[in-house]
Amino acid sequence: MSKKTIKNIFEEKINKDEIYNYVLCQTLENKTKKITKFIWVPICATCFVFMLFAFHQQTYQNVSFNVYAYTDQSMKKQKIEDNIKFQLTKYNQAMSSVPGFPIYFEKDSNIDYLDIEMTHGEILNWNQDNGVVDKLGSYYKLFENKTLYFEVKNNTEIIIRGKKKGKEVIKKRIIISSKDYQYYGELK
Amino acid sequence: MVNQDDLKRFDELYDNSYRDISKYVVCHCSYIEDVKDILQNIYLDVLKNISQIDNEAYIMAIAKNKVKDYYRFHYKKRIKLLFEKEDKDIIADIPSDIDIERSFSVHYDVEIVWKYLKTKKVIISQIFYLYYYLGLSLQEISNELNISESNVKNHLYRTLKELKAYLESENQ
Repeated sequence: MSKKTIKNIFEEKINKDEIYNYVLCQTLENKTKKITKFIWVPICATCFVFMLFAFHQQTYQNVSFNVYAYTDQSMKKQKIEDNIKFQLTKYNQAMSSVPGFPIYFEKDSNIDYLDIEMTHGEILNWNQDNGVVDKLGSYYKLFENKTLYFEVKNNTEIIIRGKKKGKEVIKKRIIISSKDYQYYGELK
Repeated sequence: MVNQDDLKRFDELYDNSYRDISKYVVCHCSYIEDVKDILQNIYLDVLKNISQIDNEAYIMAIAKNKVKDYYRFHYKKRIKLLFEKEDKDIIADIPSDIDIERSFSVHYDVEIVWKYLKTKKVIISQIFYLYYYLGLSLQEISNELNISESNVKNHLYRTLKELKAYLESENQ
């Protein structure tokens, strides 16, 4: 066994070039890890926020409520579609005690209540059994499907917010306009 | 952050210091298979602090700390005594003028020899490394390891003899 052959053993097992390459690779890897860590933290944070937002949106994606108004003299209410103007009618003109224009609100089970807010007008509640009319002011929380009555003017706006666990999950507006002594509404 | 200038500086320091550093590590390790790990740790530290290092003496200081740290944290045995009692008896019988180079000519396998060396006391691997790899003389080896020259020679001779027998038995 010559000197050279035993030398080869150590050259192979404690290889100078191998050690050198290892040191370089580790250093570059650590540098990459530091940079990627630096990049990953904001990326993960952004993704997390986005997921929360998407989850929130998805949770309340299917919430809705419907608005019905009486568009003619019949007592039949009709569902109001978005962005379509409808004529507001007091469904029974003969009954002078009808306090205002009736609008029926119907919410689905995903909504806890409807926040109804009115500008330039007043919300009324009419008990048809005893004829008592309650003035509710310009703001009312509606917990069940019900008809409310509205005293409106030309520039009245009725804002309806669907709330779930105290948070707004859907919002719509009814914009009231008048022409030739007729009142019209548009659901947006 | 390591830039091109730092890498160039590192290359230079690595080439210039490797022989001395590897010699130091081999002479102060407890197991020959630890040498590679320790050297890697040393030079990783060197590259990390390359901007502060301006000579090889600094690297030697790192090497000393790394050897200590390695055995402290890995709970490995510290450097043992170089000789046990029975070694001295055997050494006395081996002629001092024996020619190590001519004595053996055996087919070998790197893995088998390495495996064999790992089973021996660390001083054997140290002597082998210093003699065969770094090409130190017996006198230089005795100075490095703080043992007599005759002991170095005797260790070499005895191990080569045993290795020969071992390889012959492996080849059968």
